[in-house]
Amino acid sequence: MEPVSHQGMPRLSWIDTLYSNFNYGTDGYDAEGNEEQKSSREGSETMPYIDESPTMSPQLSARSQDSVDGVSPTPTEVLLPGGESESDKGLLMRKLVLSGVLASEEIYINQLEALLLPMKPLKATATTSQPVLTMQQIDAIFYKIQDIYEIHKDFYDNLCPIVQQWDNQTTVGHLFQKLASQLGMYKAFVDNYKCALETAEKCSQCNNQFFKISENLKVKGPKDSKEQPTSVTMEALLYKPIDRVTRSTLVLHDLLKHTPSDHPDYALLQDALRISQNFLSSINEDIDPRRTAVTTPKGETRQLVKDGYLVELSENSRKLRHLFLFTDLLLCAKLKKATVGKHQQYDCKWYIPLADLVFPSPEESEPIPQLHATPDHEIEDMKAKISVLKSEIQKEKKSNKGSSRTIERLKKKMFEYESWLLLSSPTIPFRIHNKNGKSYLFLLSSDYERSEWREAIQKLQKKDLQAFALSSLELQVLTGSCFKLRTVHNVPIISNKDDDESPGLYGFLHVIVKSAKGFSHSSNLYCTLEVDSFGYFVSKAKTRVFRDTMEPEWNEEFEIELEGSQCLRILCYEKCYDKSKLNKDNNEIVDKIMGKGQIQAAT
Amino acid sequence: MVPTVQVAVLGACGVGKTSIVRRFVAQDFQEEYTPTEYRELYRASAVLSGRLYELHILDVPNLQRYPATSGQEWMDPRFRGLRNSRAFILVFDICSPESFHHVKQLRQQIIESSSKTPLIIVVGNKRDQQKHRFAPRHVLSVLVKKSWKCGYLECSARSNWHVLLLFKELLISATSRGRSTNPSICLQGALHRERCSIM
Repeated sequence: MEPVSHQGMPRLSWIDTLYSNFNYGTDGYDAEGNEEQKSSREGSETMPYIDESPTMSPQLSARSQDSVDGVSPTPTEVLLPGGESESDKGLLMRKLVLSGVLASEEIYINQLEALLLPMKPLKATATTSQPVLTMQQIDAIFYKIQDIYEIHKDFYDNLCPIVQQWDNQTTVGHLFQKLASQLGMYKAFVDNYKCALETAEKCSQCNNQFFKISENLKVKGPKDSKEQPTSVTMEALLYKPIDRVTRSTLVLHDLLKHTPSDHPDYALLQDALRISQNFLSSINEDIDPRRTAVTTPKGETRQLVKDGYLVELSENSRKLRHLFLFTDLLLCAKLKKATVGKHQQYDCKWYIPLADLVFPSPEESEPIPQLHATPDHEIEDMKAKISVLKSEIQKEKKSNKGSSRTIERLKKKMFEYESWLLLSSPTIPFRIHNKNGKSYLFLLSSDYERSEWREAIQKLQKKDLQAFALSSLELQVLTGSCFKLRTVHNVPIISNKDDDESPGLYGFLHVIVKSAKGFSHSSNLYCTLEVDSFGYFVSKAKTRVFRDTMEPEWNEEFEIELEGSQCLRILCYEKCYDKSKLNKDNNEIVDKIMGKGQIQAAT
Repeated sequence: MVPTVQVAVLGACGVGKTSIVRRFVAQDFQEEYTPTEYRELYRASAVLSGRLYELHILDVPNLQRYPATSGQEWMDPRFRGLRNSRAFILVFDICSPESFHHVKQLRQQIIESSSKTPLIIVVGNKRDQQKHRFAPRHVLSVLVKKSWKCGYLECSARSNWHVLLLFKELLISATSRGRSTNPSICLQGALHRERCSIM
């Protein structure tokens, strides 16, 4: 067991942890006055990112003033004597923190630059007959570094003039917001980190030329200092982004501390902090296809919020669609017909970024084409046919003589009938409009579900969203993930159900709708009841309208027939008597939902 | 946020606590001895099997006694935050039996004053001075692992030997604690495996 020699670092490829040539080795949560000591030890890389102790600030400010000396024309308020007000002091600290950010960004950019320097010549030789490294190796080692460099360079270039021409009202939050939204790049870097290191390690072992390059990368000193470029190993430089990303919230905490809450920057910085925190807490999350798909343009994880089968009215016909609501977009897909030996897949029909989505009110949208309201008697006929078929199937099953083929045939027929009913019976319109033009129309059977969709979308829209367009690849990935992500697996059709599945309740349910309270103003109120049959909800009962009251007492009793029911839903509406809004012809419910709730009937 | 592991490095004077930490975070080593006067917190990021972690390493001056209560901890600002540590690295000098004895006491005090079994790794530093050691490695190793139920490892901050391994083991044990009831068992297994691969 021979210890590794003095100068040689133990090159242990199995170790993920990396030697850090660290930046902010110590943290300022020390209450003790050892700041002096720290800074002298860490040299130029020390950053007054965190300056907890107020007693230190004069000293700190003096120091930082020196460092930005000659760069900024010092505004007069900076030189205010001790009697300055709290907020002035806070704003002064703000500038100091920002100068610090700038300095550390510069160091970081220089490090990335040094790392990128050998990339071009390496790439150039890769295509020649005597390559130092193969293109694949280069891609593995320098994965995403160029992107990270550009993100930070952009940030630095924008921040620099702001700090140099300092004004207390200047906002920088948007820059931090942008930086935070681009943190997603680091996720890819972290994922590739091990691979990058191993490749670099392997290459420097078997390639002397690359070994020489990687052992001796020159990092420029800060602009105004006359420091000689320092030589650093590639390994140490590759670690920088790792070290950097975990600290991305520290500076925001610091800035926020010195930003008054009424400053225009406050909200922006808070948002940037939230995004960074979201990112950092999700960076280690396993990519669970059930919950996460891809990341949004802001670097947050795009998650599936709600999905379900809906009937879309498009090109003058009813079509069954699966609608997926993600964190920032609504995607309408069609289940592709299953081909043998292949997984079922979805086909994207359209999508709308939630930022562009609006709900048109009934008056301003076109009425539903009459043509598509299926006559009631046809639906009743179909229902009758289905119930005849159902009893036939039951009979066949009981007699046991009936060949399975007969049952199969009957079931197939029933599936056809039911699919038709599923497509034809919904009448409640659900309109969605894309600000950029196109409108879409769904037909639902349950107003409860319509309001659930609407609420889910509106809740997501409360967040600060931005419009975007997915590339075809992104769209493909997202659509591809739909099959795994979906929570609703089957079309709500009885013949789809296996016999052993929980059958729900059968028989008659007696419901008494008694009273309601808690309204803020008196109005004309009524309730409706919805019950499902194998997950398909239909409105079954409706109370009379109780006029001008805050405490309606309906006391009405209903008998509802259940068939494979699981759930009872109750909706309370405010009746709308406005004639102009009323449009009786197309079954539109214009009444406002005041409240809703549901009860699991079968457990 | 990124999962954070709080580690405190404890041990007698001059065993090389700061050297080990500095070797790990800053890749440097100083031959001359400067006693640590203040508590210092080092932050290091690490990637372990594709996951990102933050290590907060608390380097404190030698303490005579591990603070048994939070009151005691707050009496001396140098030791602040010590009792929040989830893991401890107890360092001794393989040439100094006294420092080993000190580690023994520290371990006892830590265990007595914590409600949960803390993760403790006992580290024999100055492996480069192998010739002057006071007891054979296996004797110490068996004693620490079997009767103290702690992880055991020897390293050398000067020659940068096993320092990385130490923090890797620490991170593995600290992050997998939920799964294994006895930290020392899981640590032993891990150590054994790694030892094979390095020798």
